[in-house]
Amino acid sequence: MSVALALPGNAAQVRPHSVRRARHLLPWLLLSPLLLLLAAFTYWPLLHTIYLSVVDVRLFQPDRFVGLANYVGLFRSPSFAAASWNTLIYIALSLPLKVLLPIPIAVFVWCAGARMAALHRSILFVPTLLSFVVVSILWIWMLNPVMGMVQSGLRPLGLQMPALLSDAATAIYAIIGISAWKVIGFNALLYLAGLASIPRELIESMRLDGATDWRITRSLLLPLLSPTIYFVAITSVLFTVQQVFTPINIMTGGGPSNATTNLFYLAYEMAFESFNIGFASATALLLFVGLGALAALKAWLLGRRVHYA
Amino acid sequence: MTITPFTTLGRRATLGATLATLAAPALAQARTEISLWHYQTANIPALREVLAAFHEAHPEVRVTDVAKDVGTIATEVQAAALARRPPDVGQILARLTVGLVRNAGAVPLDSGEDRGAFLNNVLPRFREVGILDGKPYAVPHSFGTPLLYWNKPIFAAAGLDPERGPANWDEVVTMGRQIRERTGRYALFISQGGRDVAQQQMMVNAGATMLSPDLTRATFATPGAIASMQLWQDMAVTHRIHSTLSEREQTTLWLGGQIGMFVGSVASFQGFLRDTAGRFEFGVGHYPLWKDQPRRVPNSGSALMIFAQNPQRRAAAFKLLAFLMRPEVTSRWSWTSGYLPLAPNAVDDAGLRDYLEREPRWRIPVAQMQDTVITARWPGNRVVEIQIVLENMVQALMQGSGPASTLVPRAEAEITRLIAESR
Repeated sequence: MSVALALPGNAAQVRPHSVRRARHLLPWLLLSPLLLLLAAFTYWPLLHTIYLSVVDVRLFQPDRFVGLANYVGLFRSPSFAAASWNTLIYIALSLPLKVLLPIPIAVFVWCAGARMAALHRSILFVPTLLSFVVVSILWIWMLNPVMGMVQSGLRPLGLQMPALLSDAATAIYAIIGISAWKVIGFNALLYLAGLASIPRELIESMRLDGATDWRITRSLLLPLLSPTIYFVAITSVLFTVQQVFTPINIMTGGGPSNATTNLFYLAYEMAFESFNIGFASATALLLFVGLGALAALKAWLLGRRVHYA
Repeated sequence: MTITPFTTLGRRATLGATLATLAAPALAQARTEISLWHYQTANIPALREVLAAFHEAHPEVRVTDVAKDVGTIATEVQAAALARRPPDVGQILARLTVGLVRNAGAVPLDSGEDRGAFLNNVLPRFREVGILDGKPYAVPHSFGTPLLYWNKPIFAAAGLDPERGPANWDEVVTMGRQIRERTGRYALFISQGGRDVAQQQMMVNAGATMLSPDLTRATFATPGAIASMQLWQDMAVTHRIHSTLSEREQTTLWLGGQIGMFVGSVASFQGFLRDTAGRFEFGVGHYPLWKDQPRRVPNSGSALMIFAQNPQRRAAAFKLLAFLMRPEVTSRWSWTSGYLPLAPNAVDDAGLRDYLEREPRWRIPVAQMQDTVITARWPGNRVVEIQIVLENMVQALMQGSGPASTLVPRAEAEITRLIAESR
């Protein structure tokens, strides 16, 4: 058989098989760099984090299996309870501020004339371009209740700026507000991109039929914008947890009284300040599972209502 | 061909360069290179000056200094130790040294050629910070003590003597109220940089001991400590003389000349000199006394530890530590960096005496060395959580969330639990 395959007369029969096999392997070959990177920087770290969350890492000794002890210790930590609750607040408030608020802004810019739209787009995008470290420091200065810019504006009115960042009741909302300010422009631009794909003739025809602005928004714009809303909702929630790390770290350090910490910041503290790798890995995994479940829930809830044109 | 002097010089230079190139590997082989991890980012020129002097004294050793963040240097050392690539010498916050002995393979400092003789160049009381189970693992370096700084123009505006700060906490309250009433400004800011330092200092100064001698439980909820924490709350909530702003905001206000008094580390002194120049003059006083008790304040700052596992590098690391602990070196480091001079008879050093003539305010921290005791050294791997408990305790006090009689014992119990559960 092997002799027959080697004969020149059989070359035509051989080629399709080898070509087929080559064609079958080619995608894998082309994908292999990406797959290697994914394996090295995503899957292996995830698996290793799972491992680290159930062992005690010791110097000059083999790691010791401790089962769920790291998770139990974490659940007993008051910092974990505060961080979990705050994480939910950050996520819950990010939805109206980062997902819904940019929609009317985008519609406003979309409706403005071409020249004004360009100007608004530029202004809206400025906060996105700034480093979050710079933004955090600027806001510390602006919110300073003694000599901050906001206080300077309030003083002539006889008003006193409250100490937003050092009050446990307000600090988290200050960070949420600043974090939203940072991304509203970017999300508005995403919505603008979505709006740009909507033919204006559809609006004109609805107007001719006597539709009000609200009717146009509800029945035309929002349905056609739903894929973008879906995308922004999913990414905003996922990014919020890590995005607020910078203002937490720069502005409050998680305080006062754990009022602004979140699970992402707690994992950082456990890993990079305490070198408690077991707790840090357990926190990271819980965060991973929680965000995964949340993303799945949102996909289930919102996915059915998305209209792809 | 005519040989010009220039050409001759060129040939000689070429010959010299060739010989130097050939000899370089031999010199490099003879020279031991070691690494020093530190967090002296604000004092790098002063540190490099010290290292240059060391290189001159020990040409056989070359030290590479690596600046790290103060908040993560201990963690980085542990990670590097796990990866079998620890720094040869590391600067570790004094209250974290116990964990590093157990988790980073620190070398006993009496295992060098001189059997730890260089440790005698440090005040015996300060040396205790590095001793664990009877062995010295860390030697104080860049040690701090808390001081009370005051803004002289604000004192003058409040009708107080700008040349005299408060001697005790009662005077802090009295003067603070006067500042608040007459100037409308915040009168006081006790810095909480480092999370657990300020509350330790206040409670220990009021007679408490933070940890049991065997490091197994917290012991600070004494009547004196509770009273000191209650005073802190009263200053913020009742008298409203203490700023309740965040650490960063308060530091900005102090440097902007908006706060009357600042309680913080001696390490801030040099920075204040630079940052307030031309803006306002500040006075420096001892940490306020608590009632009729002698002053007793835990140190802030760090200690040096050796992690080198290679015998040759370890020997070189010992040479570096022995050099850094020379009285003339610690004295010079003191006024160039702003930390305490560590030698038993530091004031005998001519360089320090000269500096004291130029800067009389520096006499305060030097004198307060006698009142400085070593910090609590948190054991186990839950250190940050312990620090957060203490940080939250003060923040809860400042928010008026409860009286000190409730919050302090609760924090003590929580820290004891964390120590028991840590490894």
